[in-house]
Amino acid sequence: MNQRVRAVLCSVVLLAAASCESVPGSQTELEPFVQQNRALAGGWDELWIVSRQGAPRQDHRADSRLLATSTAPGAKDVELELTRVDIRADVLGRLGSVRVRQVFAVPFEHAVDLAYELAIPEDAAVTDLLVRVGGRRIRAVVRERDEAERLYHAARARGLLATLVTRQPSGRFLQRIGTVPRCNSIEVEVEYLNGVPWTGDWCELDLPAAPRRPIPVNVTADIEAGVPIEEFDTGEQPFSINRAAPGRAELSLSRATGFAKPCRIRWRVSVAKPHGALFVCRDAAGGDPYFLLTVYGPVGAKTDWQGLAPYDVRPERATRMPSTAVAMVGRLRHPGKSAPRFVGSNPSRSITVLRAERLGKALPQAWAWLQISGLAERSNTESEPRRVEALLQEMRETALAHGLISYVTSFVMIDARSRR
Amino acid sequence: MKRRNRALELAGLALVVAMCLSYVLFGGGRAVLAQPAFYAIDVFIDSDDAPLAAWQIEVSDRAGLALLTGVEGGEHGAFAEPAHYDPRALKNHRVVLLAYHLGEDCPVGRTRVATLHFVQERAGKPSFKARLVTAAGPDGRVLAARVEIQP
Repeated sequence: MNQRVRAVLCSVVLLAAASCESVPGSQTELEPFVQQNRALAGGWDELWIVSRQGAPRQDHRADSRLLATSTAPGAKDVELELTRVDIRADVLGRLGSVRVRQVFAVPFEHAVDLAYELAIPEDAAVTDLLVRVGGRRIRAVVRERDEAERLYHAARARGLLATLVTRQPSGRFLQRIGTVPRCNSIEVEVEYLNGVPWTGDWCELDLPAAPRRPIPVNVTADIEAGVPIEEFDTGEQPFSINRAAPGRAELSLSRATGFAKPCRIRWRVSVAKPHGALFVCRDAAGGDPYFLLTVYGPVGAKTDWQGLAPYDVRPERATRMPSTAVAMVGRLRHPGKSAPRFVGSNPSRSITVLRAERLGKALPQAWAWLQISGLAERSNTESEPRRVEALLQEMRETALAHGLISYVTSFVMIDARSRR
Repeated sequence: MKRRNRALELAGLALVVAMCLSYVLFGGGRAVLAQPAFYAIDVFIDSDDAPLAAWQIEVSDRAGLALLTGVEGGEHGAFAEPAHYDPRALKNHRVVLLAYHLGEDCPVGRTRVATLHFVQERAGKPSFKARLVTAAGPDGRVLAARVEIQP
């Protein structure tokens, strides 16, 4: 095998956060692990490990409020009543794709403007947005941020139904819906990607809260850890759990009332020895495949990274998952013309290779999201204006090509057939 | 020598004319509208007698004027959910849409599968062209369907 390919065969990002608490896998215990794996790696250029155990968690909004604003001077905002919540989470290794559908009652006899702070984590990447008004369902489109704002205001001035989602400097996502016509309800459906934190033995998935009112709330979570799951902990929420396979389970919950705190699902994986799961998928556009590498296990033990060798894994760039322990998203490059075989697993090795059938679209978007996060960090420390502009341009192109909101892109939707 | 100079002059003139033409034809020289124009077009697929379960189409504006601002779902329940678009294609004023339905209740004949919402900020008439990339029935068999667009 090509030495250079082997050299970068398995780059795992090291981010031993200074804020780590002293938990298994903390900074002091990471050193021998890194040294051992460097030795194992032989000619690898780099071996990085992401570890943020004990790092402060970013809270979801306890509640999301849709405020109706009137253009009349002195008028007060009116909070709309949430009438239904559906949450669907798909987890692959340490990557979560969450879809939240909220239905609000609109008790107005005239058109109104709405403002809404999305109840999603600040480090998430918004990847899809749908709005349903009066039986019509329209998907928003990613655009450059300035262009999206200009179009939104132009449409609103013309009395058209329009929506705009932008990321605020605070990190929160603000959605504005202009000129909502007289209707009974409005439905907002948003999808986002987020890392699944790992605290010790447990992976944790926080789902947005729903107000503690008598409204139907449905939650489903399809979790594929890539390694056997030993147990689940869903706290006070009586989820039903269907174990489809040792490493996969579907959890569901239907309630007649909301829950005030964000709903947390935890699952514990076997950590007797380090074990990884490499999820791979083909790029829909026919380009290089993408992968998600998730590693579990007690830090300090020896990992058989050579299990990856037959797959010619060559990350395009070192990337890391925010708020996670050991995970990496990247792109695979194959020097040979023949398509590699990714399906199957070998229990004698520590890396299980799985086809990412469910979240095929999410892996390229997760890759783009991490590239953008890296570019944003670089642009914040860059002082040369031309280089800053070049970084912003790269962010813009990456976000537009993968259809997600970043600092320089927004989602906009304009219903050209609506009139006030 | 004179003949060669003449040929060079002509080639230069042709180049300038070509640049001007492309500038005008592809929208670069079009005036910015005082108020952007918003409009929508409906996309229909006719699968004749066969049930339609999956499709992919490409709609392009050859004038390069229309910007997509929304994808609305179709009339049949199977395609009521708005189709997914390829964000990469938007850069070149192309809209690539795809949708599929795994249920048994699929539309037959001519059906509106999507409505595309556009905005136009420059003067001129958009020139839309639709192309069916593929269409398939519930059994995965490729259908000889037709796509058409209607303002």
